[in-house]
Amino acid sequence: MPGKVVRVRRRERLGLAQRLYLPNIFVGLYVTARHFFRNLWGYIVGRKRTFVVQYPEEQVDYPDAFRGHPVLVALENGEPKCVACGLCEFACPTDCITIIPEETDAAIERYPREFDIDMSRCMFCGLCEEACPEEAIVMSRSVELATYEREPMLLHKKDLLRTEEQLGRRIDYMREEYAR
Amino acid sequence: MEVGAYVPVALFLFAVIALVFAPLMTWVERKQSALMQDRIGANRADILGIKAIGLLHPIADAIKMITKEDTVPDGGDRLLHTLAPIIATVPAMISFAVIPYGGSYQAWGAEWDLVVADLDYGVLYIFAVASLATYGNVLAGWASNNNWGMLGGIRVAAQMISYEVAMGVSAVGVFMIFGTLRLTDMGFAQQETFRLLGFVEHLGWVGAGTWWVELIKIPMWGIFLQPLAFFLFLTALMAENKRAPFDIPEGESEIIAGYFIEYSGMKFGLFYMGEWVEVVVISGLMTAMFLGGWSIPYLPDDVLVEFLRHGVGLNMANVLAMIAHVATFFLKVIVLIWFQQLIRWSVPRFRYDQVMNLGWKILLPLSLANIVITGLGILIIGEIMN
Repeated sequence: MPGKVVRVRRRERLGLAQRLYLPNIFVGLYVTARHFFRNLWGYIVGRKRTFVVQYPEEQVDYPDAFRGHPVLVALENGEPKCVACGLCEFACPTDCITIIPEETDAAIERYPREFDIDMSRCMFCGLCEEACPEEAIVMSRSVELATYEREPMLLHKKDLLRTEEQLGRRIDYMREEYAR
Repeated sequence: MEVGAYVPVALFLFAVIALVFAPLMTWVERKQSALMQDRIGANRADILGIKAIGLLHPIADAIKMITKEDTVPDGGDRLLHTLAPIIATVPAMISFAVIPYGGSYQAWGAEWDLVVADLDYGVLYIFAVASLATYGNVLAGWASNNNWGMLGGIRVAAQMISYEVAMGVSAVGVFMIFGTLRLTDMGFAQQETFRLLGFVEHLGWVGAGTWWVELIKIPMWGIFLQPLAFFLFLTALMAENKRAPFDIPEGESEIIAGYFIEYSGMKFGLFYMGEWVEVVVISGLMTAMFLGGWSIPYLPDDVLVEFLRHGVGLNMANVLAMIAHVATFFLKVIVLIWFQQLIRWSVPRFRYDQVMNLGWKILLPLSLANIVITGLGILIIGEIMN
């Protein structure tokens, strides 16, 4: 059975008000003037009606799913949770992670001697976080990475370490998300 | 009054227009558009942490403009390239000379006329001087040795010619009503009031002094006597000002920036300054012609002075009346500036053919019709009055 053909009837002839043009301009002016006076009144009485966030001073709370740049979770002794298995290095599509592992006599036998993430290549995809079996690399909420040189874009182990408190709800969200 | 006595008046006016209003316009433009669009607007410039709701931005702008590199394009005409912004800006500034911002006051034996040049042909002077600014824009486009600049300059010329016709013709109705071109005389005439229903009495339908005829009194402002001319004239003046929605000569989406495409630094700033001064001049002219100038509605000058002299004496009464009138004038100017900015930030820009259609096919016939209607009205009212 063929589908029913619906003919769209466009209004080719404008109405009188539209052709006169002026009435609609006054409608438009009324709308903008209303916004003007509403916001002006908001400023005068100190109750702002605008939803602009004054960025560096005021910041919005990002949602849990927000992916900032990846960081390393630190143990209580300040050492990374990471066991230098290399899965994140392998999962990374942009090859921005470089790990140099080393052995120790401690309970956890392996640890990364060097753990570098090249932020000029990282694309915030979160695959490293997904690949990590130890919950050792986690996407943070930080996105403020702008610098004047390339050097500071290469983050080393000491720059990347964060405690679990600093990461906040992200770890809980991550467990919930990857448990599915 | 000899010429020397005008100097302080002229200086005051120049200070108000060029040093207060024009820089403030940058602030008004940003803040008003921000409020209309639910934004906050410029508020970052500060001196020692004092931000003053963005009022320091004009200073920051001026410093930026002056310290920027000033370039003249290869193959451009260096002399004309430098002269053009000046030619475009100066007419806007000097055209305020004939606009009265107060009446005539006697204090301590001196007479104060709050107008720089009280010319017989006041409005015509503004028309003549304002069209000189076009040369600045056309020369800027030509001296830049740039195709877009040239196109912008040509568009300026086309648009100015189109709208000057409608502008001049739509103002004729006002000249007919007030019988003068002198803006101070228009100001004095607009202090009077008229009875809206007065014709009922003159036709002999009711007796003289009927209360409901006396009740409705309207100031003899141009906007009430010539409502159509008010809108036609304002539209034509805004088109002359060539800001959005009539920014065909700049045409950002078509010719990038038009006639000032090759300008930088303060020369670039001068074009904007000229436009902003023009906004103030338009508001002043509209106020003087249509909004009763300096007069406070329902309160003629002599009544005000008479009322004030009881407390402080005649001299001080005159001074107080002068202050009140100047304040009234600038209040009206500010309202009109606000209205122009409202239009500028609300109405989408016209296409080139739409601008030409509006000018030649709508504004010009309507303003011609307005002259006929005004003439008929003056005839009929004259008949009734007799």
